[in-house]
Amino acid sequence: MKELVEFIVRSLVDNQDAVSLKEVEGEKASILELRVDQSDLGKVIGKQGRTAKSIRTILNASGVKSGKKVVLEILE
Amino acid sequence: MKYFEVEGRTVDQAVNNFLAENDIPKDFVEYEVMTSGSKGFLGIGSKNAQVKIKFNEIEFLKRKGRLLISELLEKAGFEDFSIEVKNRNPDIVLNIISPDSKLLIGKNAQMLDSMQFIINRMMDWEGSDSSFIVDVEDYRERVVETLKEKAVKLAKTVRRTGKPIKMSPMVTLVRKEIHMALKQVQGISTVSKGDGHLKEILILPERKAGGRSRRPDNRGGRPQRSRRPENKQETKTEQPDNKDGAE
Repeated sequence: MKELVEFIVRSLVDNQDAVSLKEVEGEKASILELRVDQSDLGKVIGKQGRTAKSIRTILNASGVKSGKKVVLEILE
Repeated sequence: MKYFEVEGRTVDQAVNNFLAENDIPKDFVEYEVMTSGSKGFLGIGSKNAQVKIKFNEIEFLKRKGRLLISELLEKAGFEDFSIEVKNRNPDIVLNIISPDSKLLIGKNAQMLDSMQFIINRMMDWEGSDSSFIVDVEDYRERVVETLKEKAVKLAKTVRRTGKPIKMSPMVTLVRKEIHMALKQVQGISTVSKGDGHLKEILILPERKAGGRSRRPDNRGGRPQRSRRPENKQETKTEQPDNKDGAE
């Protein structure tokens, strides 16, 4: 899961070194905390949040396939 | 095929610079030397080499698309799949065949649209009018066909009754197909309405063929409603206008 998000996000942003992902295991679902460079925030979120929504949709399908629930949080 | 003319100190340098700048593997280009350049003497009188590069963009995009979608699927935990790449000018169709098709299409093709959106974002499309279309077992094609059939039926109803009909919200590519299909139907016109990437198609009766669209008015009860206010409005607005003009 972490790899999936990393793969997507890294190809979207300009400053790849500033991409950091932290997985926080929860009871039911684990949370992926994503941080990117301030200037790349728009690229990850997208117009009307469309990019973020798409990443979450893919993450959901991946979660159904593997039976693990992961929530993506984009932090400023 | 796309052609580029590049310059460099030597032929090799010119070509390699081009490949590196655009991130293109060597297999997708052929080149032709226009002037091979000369070193000159101690750098004086040196001439740059000029090379004409033929870039096989379609094959390059096909390969790139296949790689991107494969990697995405693998990282998402899908293993059992194959990808069929088709060229539908100017777009590249990536058709996934997998026993997980249901999951890969998702509710209202949400997963399909998300994958398509993401890989188009990942790709730098600058200077290209192509894009990737992601499909699962020709699902999109089938849906578009049924929607087209439905649209033509609705268009005929609009022509018959003279009343506009709204279709449910659809994404750009589907709308485009429907607009195209409805161009074949005479006596109606189509407009997209709404905000964002999901818009509704509005099928309107054509005004010029007004005779046709007004005739049914004599039968139904509704036209009476629409006629009276129209007449009233006209008389109301015209009178003050005339007065103003006279004064």
